[in-house]
Amino acid sequence: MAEPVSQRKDPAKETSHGLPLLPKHRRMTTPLHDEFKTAQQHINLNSRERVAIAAHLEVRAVLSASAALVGRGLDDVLIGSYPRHVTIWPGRDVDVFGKLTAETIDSISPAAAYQLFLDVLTAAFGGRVEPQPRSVKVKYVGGFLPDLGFIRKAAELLGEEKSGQGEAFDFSVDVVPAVRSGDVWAIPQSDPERWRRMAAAERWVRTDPEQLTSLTQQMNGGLKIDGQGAYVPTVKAVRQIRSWYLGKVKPGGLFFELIVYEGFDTGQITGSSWAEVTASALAYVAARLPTITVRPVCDPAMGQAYAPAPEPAALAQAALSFGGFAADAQRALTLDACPAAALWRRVFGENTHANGPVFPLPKNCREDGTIMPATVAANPLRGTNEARGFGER
Amino acid sequence: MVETLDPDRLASFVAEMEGAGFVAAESTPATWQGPIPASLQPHTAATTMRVVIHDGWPYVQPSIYVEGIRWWHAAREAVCLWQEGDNSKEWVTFDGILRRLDTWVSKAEAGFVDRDGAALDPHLYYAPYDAMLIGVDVEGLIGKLDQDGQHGKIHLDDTVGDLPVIAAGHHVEHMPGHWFFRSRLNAPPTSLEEFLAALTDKQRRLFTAQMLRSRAGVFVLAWPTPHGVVSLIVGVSDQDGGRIDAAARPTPISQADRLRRAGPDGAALRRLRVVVIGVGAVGSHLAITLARSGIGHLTIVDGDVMTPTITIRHASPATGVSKVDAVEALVRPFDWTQVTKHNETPRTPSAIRRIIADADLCIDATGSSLIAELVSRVAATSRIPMMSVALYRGGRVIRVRRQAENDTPLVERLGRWHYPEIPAAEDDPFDFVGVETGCVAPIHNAPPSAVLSAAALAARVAIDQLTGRREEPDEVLEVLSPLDTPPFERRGRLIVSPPRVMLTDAARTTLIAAARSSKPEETGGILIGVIDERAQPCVIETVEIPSEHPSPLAYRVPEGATAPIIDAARTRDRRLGYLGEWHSHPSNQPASATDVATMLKLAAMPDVRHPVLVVARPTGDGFELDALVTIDGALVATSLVGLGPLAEEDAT
Repeated sequence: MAEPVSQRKDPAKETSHGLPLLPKHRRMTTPLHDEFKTAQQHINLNSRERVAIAAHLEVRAVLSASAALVGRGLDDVLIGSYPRHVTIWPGRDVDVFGKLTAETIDSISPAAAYQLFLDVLTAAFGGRVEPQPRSVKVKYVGGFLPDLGFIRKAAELLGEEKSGQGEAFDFSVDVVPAVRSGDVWAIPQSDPERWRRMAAAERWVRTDPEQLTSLTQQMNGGLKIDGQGAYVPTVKAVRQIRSWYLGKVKPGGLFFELIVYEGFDTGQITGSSWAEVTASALAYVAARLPTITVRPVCDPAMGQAYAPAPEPAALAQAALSFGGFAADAQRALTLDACPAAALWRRVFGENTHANGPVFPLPKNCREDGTIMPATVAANPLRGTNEARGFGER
Repeated sequence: MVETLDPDRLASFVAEMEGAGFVAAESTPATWQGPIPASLQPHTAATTMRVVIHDGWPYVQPSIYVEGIRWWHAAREAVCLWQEGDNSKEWVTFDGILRRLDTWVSKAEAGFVDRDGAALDPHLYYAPYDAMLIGVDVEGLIGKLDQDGQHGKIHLDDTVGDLPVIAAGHHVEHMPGHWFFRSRLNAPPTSLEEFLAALTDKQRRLFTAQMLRSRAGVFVLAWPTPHGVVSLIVGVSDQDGGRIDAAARPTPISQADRLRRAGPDGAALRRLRVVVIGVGAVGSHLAITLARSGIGHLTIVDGDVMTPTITIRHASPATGVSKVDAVEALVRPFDWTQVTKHNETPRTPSAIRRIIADADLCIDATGSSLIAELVSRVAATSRIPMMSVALYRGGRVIRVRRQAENDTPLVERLGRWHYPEIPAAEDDPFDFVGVETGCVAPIHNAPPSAVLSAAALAARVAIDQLTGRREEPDEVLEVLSPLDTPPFERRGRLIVSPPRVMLTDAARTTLIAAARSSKPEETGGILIGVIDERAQPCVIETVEIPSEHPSPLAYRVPEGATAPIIDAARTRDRRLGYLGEWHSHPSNQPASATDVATMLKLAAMPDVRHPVLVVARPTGDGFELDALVTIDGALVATSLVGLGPLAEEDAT
């Protein structure tokens, strides 16, 4: 008697052991979950974030004490990578948006707005102030730390239990004046020569950094890995890789962040593990870079092309580098833990937080991708108790 | 029409010829006739030349025929534009042929004095030409080549070997003849008439008398050219139908001529004596190669006999004879090499000493580590340079070891990093292929190609030693086929490097953090860890031992500081032990002379073996780490390699 249709096995879907085959797109990959978490910690600012936030609070306190600024509706806010939580180690620049809510691009000139902030900050911080083309930099270098009170406040804001003094490191708070421009904001042109132009629109640049902060938070609420938003750590990973291999060469970290945003937004960066998402992001960046001149990346906050557009030569160099990273990452997905970790270690590069490579190795794995045997003989050597000397000379 | 892989190029070539006025010959295939170039016109009455394209063009040169040309490199009117083996392919264009013709004419007018024009082949110009090969040593026959009109008696001896040779004097059983010398001849004779016309009156009379006496003779005419003495051998026979003559192809047979292919060291090796102990597979090929290379005296030692199975890898196909007799027979044609045989397997110091006395080099090719060690020890005390060559792991690895002045004796190499141990077989079925009747040891699986490679490598190293060049290291390892174990997992000659130092991220971080916080003073401590299966130190922890008197110039580990730290480490993990030392420099400076001296002193202490030194030096925002290992009395820089945390010990 023929087997009932409902009980017939579909050879396309079943193996000889009776277990269903996995769908093709869900090949098993090497997750290295713990190693990715450690790499993320190495990329994060950790206690430096507290110090940076404290510095902002200290600068805010100074600005808030200025009648000239308060009278113009001062409302300062952290912008840039810090509020988006995409700042990577070592975290040198804290960007502050000095909003003068009572002013517009027509009511005050960039020079006047700039001078207001310069005067207030110079009076408070003296020689630690360094004028920039369109912002005022307050330096925290040579061991300078914000006042302990601000550090404690910052810890509170970050939800940290510990409120120690924190680690001194060289960074700066960069305050940029901003005024209203319609329903967004405007900051002075980066070239002060253009501040003397007659048309207000030519003296100011429209921007909405808070919107990007908001969009980042939303994006991080999307794809999750083990309950954690995948977007922000992935942006940081890409920033770390860019920083280590391309350094000060343009385009900078924000440009790459916007590419990653686009990839997440369109669903083309995806995955079910940190390894998969990171590999997907690197692949997306590598594929996108060669197309930028034809199809510029969009600043989602402003709804227009990111400006200034990167130089084609810089884009080509970046595309070459990221092509290699993407290939390594794809390969790492298919390898066993040790060789995969060795590849990721190379891709992630190094930083001074990790005092070397950012990506750790699993137990007994060597950097060349091989594994030490599980059984290791005891080392019987005890060395000598004799005194001995070394020296640079 | 013409067999070629490039019909389009050939068509283009033919079009080029026809554009230059050449016309295809109707009666002769692949032949074109056309005007001779201007450069040839003064040298011939002919106004045309023929170009014949052969099957295989462009890998076969075309032939160019010009009537009336009488020069070297123009035999039977064929103009020889390119030497045998010329790879230029100048002839793929007709323009190339014409340019080459012009060059040829210039060389001919100058007498073909340059190397490009060298030719010692007058037999190719003579008609008829028999192509029979006859050995002749012209300088040995004639002696001083400065007297025009010299002559002497010769005979054709076909009993010496496979090759008939011209020998001096007349011999009743062999065809007689004469040699003739002329101090100058403009062009090689192309017929018997021209041959006789080139002789002096006296030489001609000797020819005639010889022919009258025996109605046959072999005659050699020699004359000098810018490239050496040439000889034309002509055999003549008077028969009922008339006189028959033909030129034979002479080939040099003197030692000097044969040794020219022995390589650049032949002359130097003639004075030297080499002993080869073991003339089995590798040893037989090695002995032959040394003989071919010009060695003056070869002593071969082996107590074994040739069997049919041995011939597969051996240089000799003979069976039923001793190996030394078989090898001696192979060396015989290389008559500059005197052979001394010892049909024995020496196993005592006195036997070895007796055999290797007066040798310039003694080579063990027995494949026995015991004999190699015995020979090396005797050679060391006798101050005789020695070598050992052997194949390992089924022919996958060759090792050639030299023990001469300033080399590490073989017996002292075990465990030294310069001399990596070839991993043992551990029942690898590849290495041996069973046993056979009459043979006491398992049959090594090395293929003949591996045997030849080993013999060639050993010969190279031997000649390098014998000539005094010593460009080879004292131990050469070559991997013919990879093994699973490093460093033998890559094919090719092994480059030995010092053991790398593994370092965990945690150990690195601790070290750098300590260096950073103590700056500008130096700090340091000890390295703790294990040794991995590759004999590499693996630093699992770095422990800071603060200096009692911090200083930016020096760092000192106080007495008694090490033991408690090691004990504490072992309570955490019993596998951990001492590996070495670390310290920081306040500026970007590498290990100092003080550092080196301290490490070398440490290396000599008990409970310390190959101590590692890590130096942290500041660069920019961070620190660079240098790793050095103490090996064989030196502090050698090596690389630091990252390592993951040490997995917990298996409780079972």
